[in-house]
Amino acid sequence: MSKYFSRRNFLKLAAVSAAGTVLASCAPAPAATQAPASEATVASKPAANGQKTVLRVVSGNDVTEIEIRTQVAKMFGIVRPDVDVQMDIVSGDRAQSQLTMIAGGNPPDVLYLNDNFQYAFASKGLLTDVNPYIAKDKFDLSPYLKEAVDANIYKTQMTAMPFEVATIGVVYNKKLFDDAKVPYPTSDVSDKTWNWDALIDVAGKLTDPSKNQFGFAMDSWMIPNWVESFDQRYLSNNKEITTDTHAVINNPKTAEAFQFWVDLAEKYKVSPSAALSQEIAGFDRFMSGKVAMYPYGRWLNTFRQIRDFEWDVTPLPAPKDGHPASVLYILNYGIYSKSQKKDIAWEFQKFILTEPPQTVNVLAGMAVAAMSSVNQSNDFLNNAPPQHNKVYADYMPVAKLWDSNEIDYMQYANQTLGDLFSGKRTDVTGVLKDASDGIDRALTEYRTQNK
Amino acid sequence: MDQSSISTADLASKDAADNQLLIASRKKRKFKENLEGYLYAAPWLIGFFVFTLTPFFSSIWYSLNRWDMVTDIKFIGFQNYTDMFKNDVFWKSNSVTIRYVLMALPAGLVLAMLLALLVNKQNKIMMFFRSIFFLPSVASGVAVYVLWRWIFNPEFGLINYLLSIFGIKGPNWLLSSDWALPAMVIMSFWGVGGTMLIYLAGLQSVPQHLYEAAEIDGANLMQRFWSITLPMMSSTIFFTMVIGIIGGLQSFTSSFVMTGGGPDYATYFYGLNLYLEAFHNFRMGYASALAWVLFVVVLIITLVQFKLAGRWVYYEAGE
Repeated sequence: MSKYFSRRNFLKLAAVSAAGTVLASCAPAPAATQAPASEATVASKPAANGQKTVLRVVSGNDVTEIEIRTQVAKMFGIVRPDVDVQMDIVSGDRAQSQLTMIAGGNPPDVLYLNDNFQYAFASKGLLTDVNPYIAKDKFDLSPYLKEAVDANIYKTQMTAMPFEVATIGVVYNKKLFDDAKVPYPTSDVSDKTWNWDALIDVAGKLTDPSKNQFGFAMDSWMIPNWVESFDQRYLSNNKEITTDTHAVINNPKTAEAFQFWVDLAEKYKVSPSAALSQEIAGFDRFMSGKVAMYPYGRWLNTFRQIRDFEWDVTPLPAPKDGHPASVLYILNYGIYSKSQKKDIAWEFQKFILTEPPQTVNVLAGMAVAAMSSVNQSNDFLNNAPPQHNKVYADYMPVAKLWDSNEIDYMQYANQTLGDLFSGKRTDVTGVLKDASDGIDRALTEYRTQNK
Repeated sequence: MDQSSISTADLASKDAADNQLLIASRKKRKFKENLEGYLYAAPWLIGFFVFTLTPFFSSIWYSLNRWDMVTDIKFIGFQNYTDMFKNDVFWKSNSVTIRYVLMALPAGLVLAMLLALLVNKQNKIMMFFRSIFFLPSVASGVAVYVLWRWIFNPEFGLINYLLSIFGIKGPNWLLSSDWALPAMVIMSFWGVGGTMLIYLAGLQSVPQHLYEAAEIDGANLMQRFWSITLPMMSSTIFFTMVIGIIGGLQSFTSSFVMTGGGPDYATYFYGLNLYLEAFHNFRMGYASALAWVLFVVVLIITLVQFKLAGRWVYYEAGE
């Protein structure tokens, strides 16, 4: 190297540059979305003074979901040209992602809430009570599914507004039914002949081990639906953990539900074993045409990509002495309690509960509308596939919100239930007792820490 | 000026001034050299201060508080620590982690030693096998654990398939609370190549004249191994043992990816418990307390090892 620019000078320059880079990387990041600007930023008509307020709304990362949310954002932009709705895309654990955004000082304005963590958010004071807004605007909640509305009430506060719901049906592969010359199952929710015994019978005819084909596959998170068929629950009450809240799964009826699920693979051999399910879930098996029937919510946008076979939906069978039942899965939107744009966020919440955004959402196969009239409309009922969307709508009167509260109590029970799922333990009653104890310990610990 | 005309005092003062100038010049040069050194080390120093030292001491404070990162921090003294010692899951995670280390570490070190002895020959075939044995330890990360999950699958996994050839019905491995931890131990041998390489270097540093002298004295292979190889390798073994215990007590990724800590807490490592408390349950204060307990335990174990090392570790340099 020349004397003017010696090795020593070069190393000095490199060290200073590196130090500067490290310091620059410590600078707070500007607020940004995870999606490319072309997808996330909605072009709206410019307001009269050219100023737009940016409203950040969280969305999941499913491609169809992003498209629909963006479309709804554009629709809102027509109504409010002074607002630019930006999507903050989160992937993986949505609760964790949003809490991390909040903890990192980069919170969105409108949070994406599922029932399994909404009350945790509410208990931490992260959600705005919109009751004053409802009263001020005299917002009528009667057009919406009562269960979906009530799900947002936490300690007398309306902590969020519903957007979409989902009930459970059983999607079935029509080609496998045709090949086995088995008649398609009913689409009538009240048909009592379509029960668990009938399911086992039909699934048996559709199971062919030589082709690695199973008649029925149910992932473990579907268990609550079976449990609810017997009017059983996991917790004595949901939402707020009181001094009386305790686990109630340790009983013969719930044991019967769990035993049925275990027997599907071990006794009746119509479902893949726990070992096979560990690597290839029921969802993937159905997509690849290796499972004839698969219970799932009306999140059908992925199924609509299937080209190899036609499919439809049938109700979830009920046990003989049970009744049709479905867990109600919800997606709500809540306003972050420290957002500076609560008024605009409330306008957004009201807008997405109007008919056009509700209709756009269900037409994409994403879910069932929170607005009851949309679910009875021809747009929804004839939105094939599936041919029988009415199955999802017919479950509405009986669908119930599942047990959820301020903590993820199931993580403590799932450790014990894992032995049941793997077949290591067959004493369902003993497993449920241990799982129940695990849940109760978690509740006790929460109460101790929050007294 | 003619030096002969300069007085001794003048010369002395001139020397003193020159000395002072020299000393000042040396100090300046030394300062400049030191500054340059610190400048080169600055990126690392800044990073260490910001990303290691500051969180290190901050976590002491957090461990004395209840904090979920989204609500206000609340001072609770040592309650996190008392809650921890009353928590069944804490003791279960301790038990699982300690059992894992007790199973995986000795077996891993023995296997590494055997492999090192095997490949400690200077020929092309052994050079090839050194690479083969070392290669798996280069591959790391989540993809490897996903691969091992498939290998351990009871229905179509490679291990049970090989066992079935011999008429043996393999266990449920990761789906069994009896076999999940042994499966983790078996999987840990995947990275034994790194330790093998360290032992190989140690073996090649053992003076050959010791072996020759022992042969002359009539020592057989095993005697030479126990009396020469092991003692001469003791410092290397000590090093791998210390590092192995520290690493083993911090195990996390394998159970996080492969089992989620189950079934029935069978693979619920201490590190996994810490992670879930911090980032799943958002109990940062409690997780910080867990971290400090782990640190103290690892520190005590390491200090005890160093204390006992004097009895069995031989350093050729006579340390």
